[in-house]
Amino acid sequence: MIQQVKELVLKDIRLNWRERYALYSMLLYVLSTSYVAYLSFEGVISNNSWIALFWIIVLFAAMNASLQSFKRELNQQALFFYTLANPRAIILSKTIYNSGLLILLSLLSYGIYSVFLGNPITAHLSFVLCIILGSSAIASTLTLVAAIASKTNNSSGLMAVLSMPLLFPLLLNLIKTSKLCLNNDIAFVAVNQLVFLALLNIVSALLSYLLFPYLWRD
Amino acid sequence: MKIKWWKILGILLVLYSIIAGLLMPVPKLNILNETIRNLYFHVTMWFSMIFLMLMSLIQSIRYLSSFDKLRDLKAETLASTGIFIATLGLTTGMIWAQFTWGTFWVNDPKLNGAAVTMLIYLAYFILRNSIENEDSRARVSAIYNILAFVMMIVFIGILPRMTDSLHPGNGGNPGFGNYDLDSNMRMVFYPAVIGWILIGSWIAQLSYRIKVLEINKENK
Repeated sequence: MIQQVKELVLKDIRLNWRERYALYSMLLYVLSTSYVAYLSFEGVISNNSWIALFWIIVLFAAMNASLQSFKRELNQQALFFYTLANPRAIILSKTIYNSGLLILLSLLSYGIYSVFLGNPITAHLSFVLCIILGSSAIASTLTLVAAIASKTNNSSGLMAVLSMPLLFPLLLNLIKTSKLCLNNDIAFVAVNQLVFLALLNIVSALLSYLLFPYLWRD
Repeated sequence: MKIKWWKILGILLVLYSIIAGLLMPVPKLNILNETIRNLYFHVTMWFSMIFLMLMSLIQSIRYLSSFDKLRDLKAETLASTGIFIATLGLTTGMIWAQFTWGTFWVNDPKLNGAAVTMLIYLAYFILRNSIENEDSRARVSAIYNILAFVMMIVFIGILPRMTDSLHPGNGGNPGFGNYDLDSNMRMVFYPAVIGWILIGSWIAQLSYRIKVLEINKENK
């Protein structure tokens, strides 16, 4: 099982590296939205808007990224592929791959965003942890939702409808945690919130693990 | 025609809660005053909704283990009845808020939780309608139902407790918390909860039976 998950994650990395344009498009998305934010705020932005805008950019980057994740698994060939590997290994590998991708992406966008709009965060360690836990929670929820949406005719439209209400409370929590990171001299704050985010990761991974085997066969 | 005892019990309890809820004495609290009686009609709706959604979740789980189409129909009916009850809960809450807070809606964890719950279940119905194949629709929506319920419980259960809230029962506001609910109110509140749960189940049962009849008519 663990061996399978490892192989599948490597397969995803290799395949997506071969089609790098998708990765580049996500990077360009982050770059251009940060620049648009910089232009529209003319470089002066309040701390609260800084945080809200940052998470909105991350959220839509996550939507784009996870929409790709079941693109290849829709055709007949995929059915054969599913008989080779354990479906639980497939969803775990997808979750791990998407989480890793989104963590990288949001850390990068944190950097780009800071360059354009400045960086009001003082509790850096907490904020980076918040980014890591938050983006993996977003990614693991979105992976299962993408799998559900890929079963419908209108997957890209439905993806937003299905995932927004599920992610909205998480987003509120992330914004609250980030606000706690604003005016603190200590590097590590908001322990409760971070523990909650970690728990949320476990819950959504567990749900994917339990539910996906029912989803894949048609 | 068989009338089960729980339907009569449901009618009696709700009637009792309406009469006693409007006549029995209530504690005089700041700001709330007589509007505290809304407890018997607003909070009970959410209890009833959670119960119906839980039943819907159980039917979805049982669908996934048996692939019996009637279970899927039950899950859908229970969820739509739950949404109906939630709309009533939202309306009673909004009218109460207009008189107590002076506005229909505020940005508050509990209200956000209610809004998220409604959105999640509305998304569930959109998902159902966007899949043509019946088996596939039943399976995918059962999975989303399970995911939605767990997420909803996590958020409306944990998130409001992590922050202060304007809503009664939180953050030192007088209201429906354990400290303010006196024994007189408990005597009306708990029967009202049970009564509305029974009435909600009855509505769900009736609308399920109507759907079964329609399906049978189509097949003839």
